[in-house]
Parts: sequence; structure tokens; C-alpha cells
Amino acid sequence: MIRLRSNFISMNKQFIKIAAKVTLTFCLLCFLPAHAGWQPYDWLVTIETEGISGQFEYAGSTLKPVVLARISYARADGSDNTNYQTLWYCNGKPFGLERAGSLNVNPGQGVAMQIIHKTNPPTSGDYAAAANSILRIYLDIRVNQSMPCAIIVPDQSFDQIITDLTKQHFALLNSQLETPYQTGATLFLQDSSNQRNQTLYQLSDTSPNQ
Amino acid sequence: MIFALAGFVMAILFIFVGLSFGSLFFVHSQVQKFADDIALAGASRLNDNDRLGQMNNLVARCRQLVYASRETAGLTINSTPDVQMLAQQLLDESRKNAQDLEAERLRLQSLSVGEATAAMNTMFDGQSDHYCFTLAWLRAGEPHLMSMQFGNVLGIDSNVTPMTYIPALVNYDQSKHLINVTTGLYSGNIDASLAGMDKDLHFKLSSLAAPVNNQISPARLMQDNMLQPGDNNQLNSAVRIQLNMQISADSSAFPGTYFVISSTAATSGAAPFVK
Repeated sequence: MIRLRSNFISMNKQFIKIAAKVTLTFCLLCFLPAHAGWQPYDWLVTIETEGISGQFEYAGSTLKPVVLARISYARADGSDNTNYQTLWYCNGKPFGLERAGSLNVNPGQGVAMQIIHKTNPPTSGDYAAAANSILRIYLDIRVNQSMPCAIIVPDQSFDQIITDLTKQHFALLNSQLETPYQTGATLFLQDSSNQRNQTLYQLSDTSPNQ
Repeated sequence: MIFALAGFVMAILFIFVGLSFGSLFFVHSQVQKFADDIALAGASRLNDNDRLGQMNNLVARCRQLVYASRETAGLTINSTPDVQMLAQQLLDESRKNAQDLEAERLRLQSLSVGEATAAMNTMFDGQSDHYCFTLAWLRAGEPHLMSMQFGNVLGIDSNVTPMTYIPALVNYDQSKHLINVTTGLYSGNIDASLAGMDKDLHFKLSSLAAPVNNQISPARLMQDNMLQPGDNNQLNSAVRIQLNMQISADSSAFPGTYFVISSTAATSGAAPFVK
């Protein structure tokens, strides 16, 4: 009698567990449409590049063209938009920084980046500025103990930004996923229409693809 | 009759003397105006297209880039050693660009002085012969350009507003008296070198009138004693020229008396900075 009762209780527990799992799955399925705006990151850093005319216009200037990368960040829902800094790029190289705020992102939170070109059409200076800004913001995110997520770049500049990143000691990661490798900085780029993506890693003396 | 004749002769004499002085003053004022025009032409060229103001602002921002890169690289050593290599790469890049910027600033310094000198020489050569004349009782020779001296306006700060969001850097600047507390601008003609491992880099900020309420100070004449001679490879924002010309009471021959005429002008101020 006791054994029967204990079997019944055990079955009841199993049933409760299964019922709970089914209910949870059902709830998740039901609530998915309500979370259509859900993003796989907590914060979004926006890097906006823009060519500035009328700067360093003199004979033999090595500082033009000038492109500004204005960097701000906001929560995934767009709230708490904050200016972070402006980077100055002269002839594709970073020459200046104007910090405007701190990176108030909690450690462990996911931070994605998106690139916007205000210059229409974007120039090689915009691509170089975007690529270098990605690296500098990536480093700031890592130092802040936050978690870098995807880097969303415009469709038309996807290839050019990757090319510029490869000029900055980054390489395309084409290894099999099963292949063990050790790398410091890893970037995951995807285009804005989510058709293409590419992982890049920083080259070092022990990098697999070198 | 004799008195009338003497009076007539005296009157003629006074008229001649008066005309001589009048001519002398006229020539002097004309040559002074000529010198002023030359000095203004040269001064205007110095900050053509706001190149000096833009350079000052970029130097200050480059300094902040190096400071922030060094700070970030330091943080990675203990907290995130896996990105230390990236931090070092970006720091090296910032330092390299700071060195390149200093080289470009030095090139701009000689370029702006060279272009200003050429502009003044062109103006002088084209008009100098307009000022020589010969009267029956007076002769003025062609003016000569004796000297050009470049420098800055005494007591003018740089046009750079300190960026306040890195408190440690602001504190350092204040402790080194790099910021004029009265104007709230970086002082003029300073080398705002950083401390520590980046002290080998130069961040020179030159004296240049800052915009006031977004109004740009125009190129202007100023007193000779307000020119601070240029040194230390700073960008020059003012110029003093000296002309001389011979004037002789004997219309047939020189040498006569040398007049030295000088003029000093400051270049236009910096434009509001792009944000």
C-alpha cells in the first residue's frame, strides 16, 4: 500500500514536471509575437560617420578628407540615448577624440553596434572610420566587462568594412567550428538585411590562419 | 614797395615750405597705408581657411586620443588581458598619428609663413614704384621692404576650449596651468605634453583669437609692441613689416633722409569648431 502510494506521488511529480514544461513552452510560443521587437542585446552603440568639408584645405595637406565618427549608445528599446564620443579621422586614420560621456553599461550586458553613414554615398574615408571605430568601441566594451554582440553594418559597405578591418590585423575566421583555436578579439559582422555575416579575429603570432 | 616785395617773397617761401611738409606728410601717410595693406595681406594669408584654428583644435583632440588609448591599454593589463594586444595596437596607432600630426603642424607652420611672405612680396613688388616722385624741391625714392617678422599677439590664448569629460586629464591640465582660468581656454604657445610614457610627444597649441559668440575676429592692424616674436616652432598668427624710403630736399640727387615705416597685423581668428 505504501509502495503504491509512493509510486503515485512519484508519477504525480513527473506529471507536474512535464505539465510545467509544456505550459512554459506554450507560454513562450504565445508570447513570441508580443516580443517581436526583442533584440539579442541589451544596448546598441551607434557609430555614425560623416565627411566634413572645408577642413585642412591647404597645399599638400595630409589631413584631408576629414570624417567624423559620432558615437552614441542607447538601450535596445531606444531609451537612454547618450552621446559617448566623437572620433576624428583624417585621410582614414584616427587623429582625434572628443569624449562626451562615459559608457554606462553594466558588466555582463550584451552590446551590439550599428554603423550608419551620413555621407551619401559613403566614401573610403567613411569605411575606414567605421572599421577603426568598431575596434575602439569593441575594446571599450571589453574593458567595461560587457559582452560585445553583433556588429550591424549597411549592406553596401559590408565588404569594404571587412577589407578595412583586415588592414588592421584582423583576419576572416574560416576554420571549422570544431577546430580549437585561441584568439583575443573576435568580431561578428552582419549586414543590415541579415543576408551575410562574417566572423573576424585578431591576428597574433599563434593565430591558426597565419 | 620793398616791404611788399619782401612780403611776397616770404609768402612764396612759406608756400614752398608748406607744400614740402604737406608733400612729406602725404607721402608718409600713403606709404604707411601701403605698409598696412602689405601687413594685412600677409596676416590674412597666415590663417587662410582657418587652417591654424583647425590645427590647434585637432592637436588638442589628438592629445585626448593618446591619453584615452593609454588609459584603456592600462586597464586591459589586469582586467582583460586577452584584448591587451588590441589595446596596444590602438595605442601605437594613436601615438604614431600624434607624431605625424606634429610633423604636419611643423609643415603647416613653414607653409603659412612662406605663403604670407610670398603674398607680401607680390603686393610690394606690384605697387612699390607708385610711391616715388620728384618735385622741384623734393624727391622721394622707391620704398624698400626691410624686414618681415612673424610671431603672435601678446596675451592671446589659443582658440581651444578644454574638453572636460576626462576628469584626470582636466586636473592634470589645471595643475600644469595649461588652462587660463579667466578665459577658460588653453593658453597660447604652449606644449601641452602629457605625463608618463607619452611625455615624448608634443602637443603644441598656438596663440589664436577664439571666436566669441560664434563671431570670427577679422584680420586687423595692431600696435607694434603687441607682437610677440615667434619661437619654439609655434604657428604664427601675426606679422610686422618695416619699409624704408629715402626723401631728399635736393630733387636732383640722393642720399637724403631715410624714413622707416612699420606696420603690424594679426591674422583672422579661429572659426567655431565643427561638432
